[in-house]
Amino acid sequence: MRERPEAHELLAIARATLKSDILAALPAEQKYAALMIANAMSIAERQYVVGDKNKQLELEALCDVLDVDPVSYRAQLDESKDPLVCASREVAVLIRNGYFDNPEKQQKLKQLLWSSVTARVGESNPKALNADW
Amino acid sequence: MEPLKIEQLKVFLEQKTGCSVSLGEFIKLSGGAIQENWAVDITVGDAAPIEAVLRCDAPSGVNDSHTREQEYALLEVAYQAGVTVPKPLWLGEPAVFGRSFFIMARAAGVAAGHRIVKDVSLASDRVALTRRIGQEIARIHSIKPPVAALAFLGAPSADPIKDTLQEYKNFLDSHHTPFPALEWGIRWLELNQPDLWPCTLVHRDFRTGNFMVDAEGLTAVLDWEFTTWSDPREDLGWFCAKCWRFGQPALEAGGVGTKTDLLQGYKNVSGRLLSPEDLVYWEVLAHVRWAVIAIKQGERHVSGAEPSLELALTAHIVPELELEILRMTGMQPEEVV
Repeated sequence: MRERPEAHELLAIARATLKSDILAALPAEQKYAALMIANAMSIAERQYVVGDKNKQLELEALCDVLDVDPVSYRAQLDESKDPLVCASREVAVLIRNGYFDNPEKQQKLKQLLWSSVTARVGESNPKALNADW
Repeated sequence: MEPLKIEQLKVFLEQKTGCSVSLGEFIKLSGGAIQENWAVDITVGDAAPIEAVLRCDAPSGVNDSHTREQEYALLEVAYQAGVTVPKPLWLGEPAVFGRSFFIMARAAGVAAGHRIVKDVSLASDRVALTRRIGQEIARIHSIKPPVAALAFLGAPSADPIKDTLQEYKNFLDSHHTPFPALEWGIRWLELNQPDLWPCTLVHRDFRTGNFMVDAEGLTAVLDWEFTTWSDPREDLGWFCAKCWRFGQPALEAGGVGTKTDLLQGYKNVSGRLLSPEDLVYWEVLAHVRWAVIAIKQGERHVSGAEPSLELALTAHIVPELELEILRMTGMQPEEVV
């Protein structure tokens, strides 16, 4: 058990207070810094809420492209290695070497890149998910 | 500006001009972490005061772009080619106050991108502004190698795009985190590279935010720190890239106008007619380039070398740049199109 409000709730109210009580009182040259602080807090809040879910989904999509089982992929790695980094690197190497140049081979890659990038945009700047943003 | 340095600068300018010099108040302008800009009025002999800007290295500037001496040479060459730049006045010597500097005329107006795209009392004729930007870019591209004063740029590459992409691949190989979508963008650029145009001078950071406008129109093209020899279409793609439209995505030319007007202005001076479709490749390149720069900027914070909230947040721009790369290169799954 942890006290409510939890981390994301604290970030949300702290950010709201920064914008409602502090921002207007700041001189013009400090407003930009305050807006950056609010933005950083909102990214942290979204990442807290998502937790490791998006990373797990990304690893599964990477393993799908690499045609390996995520559990066995994790198991065969040295404990010091981050499976997400290793699998991303393997896919990056395949892309660079032209493995996906043929459109027929791009379907899984397309799903992987789109889902992993939109998940990261959703954490960093969800407004940009709208194509007309 | 410290009194001792002001006195040293006055003596330096008196030696340069052979006249008595008086300096007005120094006012620090918004600049960056790498350079400082100071507004100052300079009176030489009996002439009317010159409204000037002193541009110098910041005390602890970490910098892999051009030096102030090189930037001054670029301004001189651009000024002679008819590009609207602040008139370069005097190149300083580091011995004067311990940092490289130069002095240029002070342009009137506003540079801030967010203000320019929203406040149409600035350069209120936006069609004219957009065409003018195309003309200015074309004048930069009228400068062709070799130029003796720009020898520091080195010889133009036979394939500047291949070199650029190789540089990005080397960087990604050395970086702790892979970026598959960015890697896809690089691969797409390799597979879709058009025949190159002969190298010209390219500004390489000509975007909204790096030129000034007043009520009448454009008053100065700024920030010549990344200028080099390359395919001239790089500048047009950078200017139009969605990431530089400052919240005005429908205005494809830098958030201020249409590509058609930009390219019309470009043709008026260069004689070369491009279509908006011709720019797609160069806009993808622009997004890849900005993404690599953003990763590097974020890393300056993450590595502990330069703790900065602004740098930290720049790293979080990378996903939206990658998303745009996927959209532009046909990697949007059919069900979400």
